[in-house]
Amino acid sequence: MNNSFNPNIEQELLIRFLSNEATEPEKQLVQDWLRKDMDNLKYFEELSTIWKSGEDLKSFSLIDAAEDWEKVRERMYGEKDKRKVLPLYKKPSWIKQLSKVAAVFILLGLVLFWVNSNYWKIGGKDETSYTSTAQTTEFTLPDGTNVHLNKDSYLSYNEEFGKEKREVKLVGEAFFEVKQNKEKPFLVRSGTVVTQVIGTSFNIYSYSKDTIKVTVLTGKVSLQKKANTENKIMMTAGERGTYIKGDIQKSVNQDLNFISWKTGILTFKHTPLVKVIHDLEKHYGQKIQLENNEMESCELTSTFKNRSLDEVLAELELVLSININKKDNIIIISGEGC
Amino acid sequence: MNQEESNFIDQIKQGGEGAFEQLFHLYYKVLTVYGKKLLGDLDLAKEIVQDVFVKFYENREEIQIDSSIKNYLFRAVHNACLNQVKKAKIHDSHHQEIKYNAPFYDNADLLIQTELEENIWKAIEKLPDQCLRIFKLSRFEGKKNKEIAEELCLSIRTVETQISKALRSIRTDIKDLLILILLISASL
Repeated sequence: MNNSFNPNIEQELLIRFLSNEATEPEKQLVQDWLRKDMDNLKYFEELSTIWKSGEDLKSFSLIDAAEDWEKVRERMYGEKDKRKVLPLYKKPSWIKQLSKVAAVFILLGLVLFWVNSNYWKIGGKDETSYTSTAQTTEFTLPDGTNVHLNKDSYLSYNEEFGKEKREVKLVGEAFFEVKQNKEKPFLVRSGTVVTQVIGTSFNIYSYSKDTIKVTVLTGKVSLQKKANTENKIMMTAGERGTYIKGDIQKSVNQDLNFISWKTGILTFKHTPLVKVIHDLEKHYGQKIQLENNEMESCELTSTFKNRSLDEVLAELELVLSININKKDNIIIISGEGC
Repeated sequence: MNQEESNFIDQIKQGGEGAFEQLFHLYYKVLTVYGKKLLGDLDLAKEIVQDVFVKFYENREEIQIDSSIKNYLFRAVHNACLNQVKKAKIHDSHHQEIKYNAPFYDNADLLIQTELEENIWKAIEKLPDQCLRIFKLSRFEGKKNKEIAEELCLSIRTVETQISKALRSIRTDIKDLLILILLISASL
């Protein structure tokens, strides 16, 4: 179901239904609506999942990570070298400044970070870090770049910053107004994803490939090049930004398995066998080949939760009537097609 | 485990404060909420998660991480909570015994629920002020729409509209995760 799904029912009525404040005729109306269409039911399930998740949400607002870090830090390191925690203040009308800078971009670091990996590469040098908790924070980096750090976010850089390049690490959400300097590229590292700004142009790349995909799970990511408005994309939940040879393209994320590495869950819904094999290769790090083209018409619908590759292959064999053999560490799939 | 994760672990083993601070800010809140689910007590969960971080620091040189740091920390918090329950012999009828005793690997639902809440929380923080206030009164304080309307001098209709706006905005933000979670629960 996409975002433009039109539920064709009064939204306020659904809220009354969820909060159990609807009258009997209203309840009947909702129930009829739910029965009418599968998409209605799905939509309702999604809203109701959020509605019901309220119990521990409040807990998040009752945890002050910055304050508790101080406690933990003292236990670990003692009182020495208090780190720099910025005073917090309301953000100014920074939107006006937006047009003045060479290159601006908003990066939802946590999302990139969460999707791609759970770690950072760290230089091991003296680090300066900024943490914001209840409010957004604005500060200027040594090179003149302005950073607006959103709530509950964390940004750091080490003493190498500004020598050959300008590199920062980000957890959370930040808005950057990058000071132009063609000699020293500006890099934001979020896990394995690097967003780079050089002068008026910027691009994103990963160290392993010259193509990267940023899939947004929550929130909004905007990649914008001031001199070239055609090359501006805004990505919201469910969308994917792809960078290929200087071109940034946006598409709707169709990949059910982009976080399978994390959840251990592989989901296929009328998925062509070629894509199934691609996902299995990625998930299990095992090379798999199709022996002939006839099988490309095969489709799979199934969900695997924390299964071994052998278990998954056994099910494929059963469901798709195919044969699976192993040769020189490569799994070869053969069969007559579907 | 890939190169970057093992680099990060190396950093932590060397005791770098920057590395530890990053680790803390990444996982402290979500680990604490997870602990709260197991213990039913937020302050106790905070203490236990802080202990886990301090112990992790003190034993950093001996620690073996097989999968990921995140997985390691969740497992450590899980075990620390179970120990706490055993030690204090907490008998809380509000919480099912099975949650206390369930081994970590059997606990996917609770982990997924925590993950969902973390993402909803981040989406909530982005709501406009009025919308946020009304949503919190409804979902955090458990107030009826009518009560909220009276408290804020608004019509009930406005309250319902704002709650609906909030739900739809959160839904848009976490759509992929929702679809995934509903798929999982449908296939269990």
